[in-house]
Amino acid sequence: MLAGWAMALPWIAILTPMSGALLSALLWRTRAEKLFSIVGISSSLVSFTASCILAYIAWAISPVELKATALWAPGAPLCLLLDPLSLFTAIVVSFTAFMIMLYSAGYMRGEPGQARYWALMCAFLSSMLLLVFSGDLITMLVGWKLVGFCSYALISHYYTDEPERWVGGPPPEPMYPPSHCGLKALLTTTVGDVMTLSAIFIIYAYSGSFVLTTLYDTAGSWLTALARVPGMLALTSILLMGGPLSKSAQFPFHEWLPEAMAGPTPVSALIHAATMVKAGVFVVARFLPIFYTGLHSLGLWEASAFFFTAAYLGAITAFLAAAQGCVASELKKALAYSTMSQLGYLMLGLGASGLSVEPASGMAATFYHLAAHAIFKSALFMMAGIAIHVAGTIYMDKMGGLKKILPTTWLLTLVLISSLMGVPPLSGFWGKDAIISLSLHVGLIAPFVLALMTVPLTAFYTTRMLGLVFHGREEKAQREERPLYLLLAPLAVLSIGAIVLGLSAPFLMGSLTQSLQSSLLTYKAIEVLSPSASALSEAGAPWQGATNSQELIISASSLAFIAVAGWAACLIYVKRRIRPEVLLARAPLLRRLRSALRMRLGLNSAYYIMAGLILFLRRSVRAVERCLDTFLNSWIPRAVEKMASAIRKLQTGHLGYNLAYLATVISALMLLLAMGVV
Amino acid sequence: MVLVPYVLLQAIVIPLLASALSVLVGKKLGPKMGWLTGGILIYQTALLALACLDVWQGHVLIERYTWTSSPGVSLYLVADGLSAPTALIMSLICTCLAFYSIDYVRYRVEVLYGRGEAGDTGSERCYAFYYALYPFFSVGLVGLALSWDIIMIWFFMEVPIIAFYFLIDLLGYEDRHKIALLCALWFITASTLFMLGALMAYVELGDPSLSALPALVGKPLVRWACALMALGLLVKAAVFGLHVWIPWVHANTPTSLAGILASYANMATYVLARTLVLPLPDILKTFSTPLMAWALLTMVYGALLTLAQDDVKRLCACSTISQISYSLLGVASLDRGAVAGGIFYMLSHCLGKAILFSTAGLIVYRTHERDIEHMGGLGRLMPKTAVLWAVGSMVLSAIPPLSGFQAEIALFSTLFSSTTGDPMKLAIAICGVLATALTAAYTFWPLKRIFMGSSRADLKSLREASASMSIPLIMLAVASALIGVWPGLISELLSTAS
Repeated sequence: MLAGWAMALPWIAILTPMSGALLSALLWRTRAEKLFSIVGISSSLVSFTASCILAYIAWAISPVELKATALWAPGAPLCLLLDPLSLFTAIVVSFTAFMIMLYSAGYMRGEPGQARYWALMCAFLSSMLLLVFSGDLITMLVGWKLVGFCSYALISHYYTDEPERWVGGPPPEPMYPPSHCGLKALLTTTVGDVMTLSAIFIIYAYSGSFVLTTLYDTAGSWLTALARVPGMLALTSILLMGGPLSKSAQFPFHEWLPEAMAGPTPVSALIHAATMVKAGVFVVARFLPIFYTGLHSLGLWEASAFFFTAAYLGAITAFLAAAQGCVASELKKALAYSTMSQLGYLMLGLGASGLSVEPASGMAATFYHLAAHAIFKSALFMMAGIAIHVAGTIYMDKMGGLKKILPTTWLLTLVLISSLMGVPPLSGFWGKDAIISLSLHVGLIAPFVLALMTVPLTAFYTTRMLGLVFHGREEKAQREERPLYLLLAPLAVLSIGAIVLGLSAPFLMGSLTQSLQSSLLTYKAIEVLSPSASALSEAGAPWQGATNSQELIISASSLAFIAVAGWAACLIYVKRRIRPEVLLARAPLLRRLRSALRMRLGLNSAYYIMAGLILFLRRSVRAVERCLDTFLNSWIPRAVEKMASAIRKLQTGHLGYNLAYLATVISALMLLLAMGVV
Repeated sequence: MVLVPYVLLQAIVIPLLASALSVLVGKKLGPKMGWLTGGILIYQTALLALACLDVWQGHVLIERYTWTSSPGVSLYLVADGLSAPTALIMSLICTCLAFYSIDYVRYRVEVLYGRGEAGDTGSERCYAFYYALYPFFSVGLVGLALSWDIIMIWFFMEVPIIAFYFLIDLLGYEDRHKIALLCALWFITASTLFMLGALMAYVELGDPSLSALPALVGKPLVRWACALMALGLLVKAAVFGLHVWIPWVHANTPTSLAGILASYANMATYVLARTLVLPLPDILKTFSTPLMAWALLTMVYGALLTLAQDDVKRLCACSTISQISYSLLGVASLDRGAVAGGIFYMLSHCLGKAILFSTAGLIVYRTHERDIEHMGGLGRLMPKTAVLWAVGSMVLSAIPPLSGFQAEIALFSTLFSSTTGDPMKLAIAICGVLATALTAAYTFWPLKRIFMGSSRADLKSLREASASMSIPLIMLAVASALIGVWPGLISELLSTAS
């Protein structure tokens, strides 16, 4: 049991940034720029500290469920769940957010809409922590929806749409204003959200509960009931994946993320590293024990749809996004593609974990990689912010030579991109390698091949990024007016974090695996029903069996791919021995591929075609409406009017006619009387 | 027990005091009459809050005052878990919009009748007339919520029609005289259909109270009575095919009354639940699935129709068509929990729509422009108005912490639970949830079009509307947030009734 004061810690972590948000919003008139940044930084620091203390206290005794008496919905108490998954993620989220807030203090100086910015950033962090700590689906949805709304509002931060704030291009590629980008993010993620929402309602209809632990414990009974309707479990699985896929920018809901960089750079960092996109992965992990029970304990094959969807779409996204990252012209867009690709790995990791009899090690690898990605990606966005301001352009091919102006930034970036491409012993290597190995281990051949092929692409685009931004001919640079130490300090801390995390990988992943295993085994459905429960508690992590020749081959191939692709990119973009234009001129296929990738394989256009279809439907609806309106509001009144005119003709005013009417009526009445009708 | 005597009767009658005062001193007070009316309506809201508190404690307040002994019609008022929160929210909306009216009516009077000089009886008569009729809405809507008698329900349904007709004719937009007539004809047709059904039920039962309605089962006229009552209510609820009055009437109503008109249309689902679904579920069983399908069709059609609008007021008006159908979906499922969910959704929608529509009014009031195509960039010039629009959009799009989110959860969780054995109903429910994505499109897309981007050069000097117009909307937003953060306030009350 947790001590009384410790039970307040998750609330402190969640509510402190929310209070910061309210304070900033209430003080918006004061324009006290420094005060806002102090509120943002201190509230995120409080969240981080509370998360760390909580993890220290609750890690060993987790899972702990905290229930409040307040009712969200009939039969749904407000619940928080403290388990290794939530504790670990909360630390990652709050730490990364704290670093980003620090960076913001320097970056946002003099920018418009300070109060709005800081209020939304604080609300963003608070919502993400609410989602992470949520122990019931209603609370989770509150966090989920708020995260989506905050990201929309922050992406649209420069809502006045000045031309210099537009992203995309260079022409002929389309350019989009920030307000458009925010709306695109909101609407795309909403489509996924409503899918998840419907799945949650189906689950509630069969389980009668929104509480996660109850859902885990009773999964055996309600999943069986759900599976009695053919196709229902598969449908629920696929619908449930809609939200996570869209939030985590996975195929086919991924096209909003490249434009999400229209917001200020710290916003991009927060979306890509700590909140929003990580929310999808976290929610998949939250539902994993349920579908794991369905598949492995109850033998319901339809439950595998959940894992196959995650694994296949994750792998496809990882590969496609990495390929697009290789040709991206904007620095932040290349990083956005990189995020999609890395999140593809995470989705694949969770899919493969669920298909594996022993899910804990895969989940541990996935969450380790989530932390690694959070650290190096937030830092890379910080680097992008500095580079863009110094170079005065968002396009990489117009940058170059920044190494001389920003040597420290270059050095830190070198560490970070090495981590991103998966150079051992940095943090990007361990989790990614474990995920690739696991996908082969569970027989996901196609996702395995795609994931492995993503490795050289990652090495290529990261080296290209480094080369284009920092090497080559020095372009005309601007003077950085922001205090560089405020921008560089968090970048340096995060770079050191990437190294430390890499060096502690075996210990951290091992510890996480053990904790996740014991946490999963506390749920009755898994403990009682799983035939492999004992095997689950004794199983080791895939990397612990590194003697396995198969895994060694995978690691070796992965490293070889990194070396070859990295070297190729180094020749082209760092050493500049081969000019890419010449290469493209010689290889028409490559040129066509490059242009297809730059056009985003037509997927972005597909979004606009769908939007166009809805706009076309508007016309049809207008036509239907016109018909209904004419019929009911014009023809019927006109018909009544005509009838009235016809009847009016009878009213001649002549005495003779009136007497004739009277005689007719009296005769008719007498006739009816005579017949006995009246 | 509440300490105030005749609390329900007072809640119905007190607003008429405002009418009487307006007749007596309205001309003298002019626009200031709005403060007096608002003050009196605050008292009504406070009375209903007390009644809610009592219901919360597990009581049911019943007051019966015989009107005519033959036929036996009485003012039979009941405040239970369903009616008390409904009456409170209706009263709150009327109260807030009474304050909103103060500056708005002055503006409309100036636009339509010119700036009146001091002592100009023409324009002062307008204010007196407006505030004499305005309390009728409060009486009608609260009466509709509290009535436990089908004849009185019909009566309270008629009361706001009189006010709508005259006030649209007085201060409406476009061809306001024609619109007022259109409004009256549609509403009277609907009320007449309801009245015919209600009279049939009364003839069969000899007792107009809702408690007697279950005895209608097996009577020869029961189907006719139910069909006529339902048809009348569906016209008011603006289901697909019977909705064509909304784009005209709702869009051209004076904006201070638009939130009330939306509430009036929404109350049709409440009355449907009260008079037919809860007392006579077996009779409606056959119609449940078709009615749900009809509601789904209306949701989607209404949403697409809203997306097709470029007129900011018409846009808000068309969204009402789609939103009412969510409540109808819950009510039509015949499940008691889903009915409560449907009513919760209705209350949330009324709050959200009052905010959204009134914000549209603020935009029109300041820009004198209704075409969204000619707007853009207003966020920088009118940030408070932009936030209010965003809040209204959030309520409708079910984004926490506002009431729409909890209402959506309450509606769909119970609806899905009630449809597990019926694949067709489950499919409709799933499609209903999926259709909510369109709500985000038709609320946030206009937010972008109206408030984001660059602004027109001639609008650069635009100012925010006065505090008397924005504070009432902020109060409605606070109420919505309170329900969103503590949904038990409403859901626990509703669940006691269901």
